[in-house]
Amino acid sequence: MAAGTMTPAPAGDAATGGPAANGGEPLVRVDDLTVDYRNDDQWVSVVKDVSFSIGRGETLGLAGESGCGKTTTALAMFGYNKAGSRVAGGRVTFDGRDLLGLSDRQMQPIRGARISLVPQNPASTLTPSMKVGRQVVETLEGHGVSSGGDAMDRTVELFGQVGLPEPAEIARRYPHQLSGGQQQRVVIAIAIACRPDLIVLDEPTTALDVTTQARLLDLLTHIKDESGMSALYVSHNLGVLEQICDRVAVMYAGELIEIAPTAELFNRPRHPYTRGLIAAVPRVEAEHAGTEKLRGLLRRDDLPDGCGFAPRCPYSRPQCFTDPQRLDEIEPSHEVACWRAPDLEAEAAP
Amino acid sequence: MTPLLEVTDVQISYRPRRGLVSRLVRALRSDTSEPVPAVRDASFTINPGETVALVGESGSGKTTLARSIAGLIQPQRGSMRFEGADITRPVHRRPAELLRHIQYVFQNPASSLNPRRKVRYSLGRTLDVFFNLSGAERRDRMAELLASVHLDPGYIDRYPPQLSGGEAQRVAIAQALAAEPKLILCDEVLSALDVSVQDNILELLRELQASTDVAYLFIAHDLAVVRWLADRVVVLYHGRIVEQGTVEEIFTPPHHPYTALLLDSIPGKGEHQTSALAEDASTVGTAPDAGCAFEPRCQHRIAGVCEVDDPPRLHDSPTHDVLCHLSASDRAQVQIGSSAGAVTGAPPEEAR
Ligand SMILES: Nc1ncnc2c1ncn2[C@@H]1O[C@H](COP(=O)(O)OP(=O)(O)OP(=O)(O)O)[C@@H](O)[C@H]1O
Ligand SMILES: Nc1ncnc2c1ncn2[C@@H]1O[C@H](COP(=O)(O)OP(=O)(O)O)[C@@H](O)[C@H]1O
Ligand code: SF4
Ligand code: SF4
Ligand SMILES: [Mg+2]
Ligand SMILES: [Mg+2]
Repeated sequence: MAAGTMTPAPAGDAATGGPAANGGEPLVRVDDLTVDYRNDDQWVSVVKDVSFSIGRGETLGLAGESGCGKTTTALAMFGYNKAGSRVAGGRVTFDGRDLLGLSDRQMQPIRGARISLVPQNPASTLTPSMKVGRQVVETLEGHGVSSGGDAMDRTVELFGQVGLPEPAEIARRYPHQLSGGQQQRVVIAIAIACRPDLIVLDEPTTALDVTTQARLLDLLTHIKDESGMSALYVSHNLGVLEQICDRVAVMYAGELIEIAPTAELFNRPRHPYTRGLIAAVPRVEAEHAGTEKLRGLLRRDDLPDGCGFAPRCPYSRPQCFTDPQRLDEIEPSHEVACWRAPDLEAEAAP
Repeated sequence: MTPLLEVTDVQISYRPRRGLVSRLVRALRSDTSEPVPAVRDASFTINPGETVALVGESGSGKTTLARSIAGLIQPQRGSMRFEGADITRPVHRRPAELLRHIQYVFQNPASSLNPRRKVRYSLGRTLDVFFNLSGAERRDRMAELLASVHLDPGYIDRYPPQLSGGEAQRVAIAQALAAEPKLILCDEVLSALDVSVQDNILELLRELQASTDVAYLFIAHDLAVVRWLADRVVVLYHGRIVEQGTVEEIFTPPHHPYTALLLDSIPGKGEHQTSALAEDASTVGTAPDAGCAFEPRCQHRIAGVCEVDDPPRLHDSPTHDVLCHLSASDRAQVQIGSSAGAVTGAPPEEAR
């Protein structure tokens, strides 16, 4: 039944079929997702023909510059559309079901229980007038996981797991009485409370210092290993993605431009943008190195018809500005949207 | 030289909950104790044109300290001076000139932007409060401010919910810049931004400092950024300044044991000191009543001393303070060969 709803995978699409390790049907499959925002009475596509999949138990990282469409992609997948946006095309299949075709009422039991979201601005999802412990209890009760005193015990346990100090005391506080990082950990506790199949984390550790972040990454890895949960991890912090993801997808100006297993992507990035992104990571060890740094910033108001990165690409050729680039598998499991990627590797030999 | 900002022995507590139930619970437990202060005995200075980084883990009191400098919260003890004048008073009793000169960019950009007002309004309002611009001049200044944070002019007509996280953060930065202040309190302003935008904003902050001599109190958890941007670093643990010094002093061993842990926890650096990280979560963030607050997590604690006596403030150099029972040479000894030493010492193998 699940397989029947799938479009047959086109040849050469092996990499988007999830990690070979898990085999079988991926948990999530996104095909040609396009999302528009309304700007002054006209619709503009901010996410264009994005396709990827997430295997069972797999963590997929999503990286890219501010404003490139990471949050939009992550939200649209689960019908959490932002105001003034619409899904203009494409399909999202979750465990064999077409998600975008479901009504709000049909989505209700899925959200929170099978798919949960940790949004970029966690403070906004907490109810200001309700104690944070109560908010977790309501989630647990709402999905019939546990109730009453059990739910409160479980809440305190969850708070301890996400590294909140004095969990029982914190549970009695209102959101404004917590620091930014503490609020964020409450939201993460709510998201893992029901042991979902998929957790979508949008920049979940950006408000956190390194030690808290390291502890949370350990926790997420632990939960994943134990429960086989899949994750979509949106972050601009490549160090974090390197540590936690099985595969990483990179977006630029609304399009997916490279996707590969983590080690492969970091050791042999093929798209010029990915290379710049990796080179731009500040390191404690070295003086701020400016070797292959990215030039300028994404300007959505002057995107060419061809490759979106062409205005900033050190390797661009005239046809880059006119010929649209599609993801292409240049090695098993490694896809790149740049026609010059094969010769660039030769050029960049250290 | 008079420091731009001088913070002396500041202590800040949040008031205990005043609800009847909370008071009853406290009475029943015969709990008459004062609330644990979020910040204690904090003393540091910021000079004109200087960047002081404030680092420390979540909940350590960084935001609280910044809020008190901005006048949003009252310290119970200690004093704060700005250009020599006492500013230990709440924001509504501060003169307009002072309000202009101390700008605060919040950790969460959503809280400094009104969701129902266009960017045009937020930026315009700051300009109107402090400067008398009109017509083309005002318009140009707004466009210039947006450009400085790398946003297209079209963003002037967006509402905050129409911005991505990083874009909202940049609008908040532009708003602070609009006041042309002498001190900007930047609370985790870069953490919502990806590396390429971060790079550009850092560049902008530096340029601005070179041309206007603005000073920054820069709260951050990305130590790589701190190393690159800051002149001096203040390390906070549990509300106490456990180490402060110049960037070189902070990043070169011997460190305070907590600073060493911070340096070791940087993601993507491979091995971290799991022993200190994987400890029982319930001990994290709960400071013991006596002795050194870091003692439960410290690998180098001296039994019988650290959990009993408050650590002294040692002066490793005139610019470098460390709150610890271990002397500089003791710390140097235990930190040799530790990975913290490796991070900051010799360049990595392949770079040689
Ligand atoms: N209004 C409040 N009432 C009670 N306690 C509070 C209040 N605001 C903050 N706190 C507590 O004070 C301590 C310091 O908070 P602060 O926000 O300054 O931390 P921070 O270092 O900025 O952390 P983060 O990096 O997570 O934002 C925390 O333990 C927090 O729970
Ligand atoms: N409600 C909205 N209306 C119009 N444009 C929007 C809206 N929300 C986001 N955008 C724009 O869409 C682009 C992608 O946003 P987003 O997905 O939030 O980016 P990010 O990768 O930073 O998470 C950005 O250019 C942003 O300005
Ligand atoms: S297609 Fe051309 S412009 Fe685009 S990344 Fe490749 S070389 Fe650069
Ligand atoms: S005083 Fe003792 S416990 Fe505290 S940091 Fe120094 S050695 Fe560790
Ligand atoms: Mg985002
Ligand atoms: Mg804070």
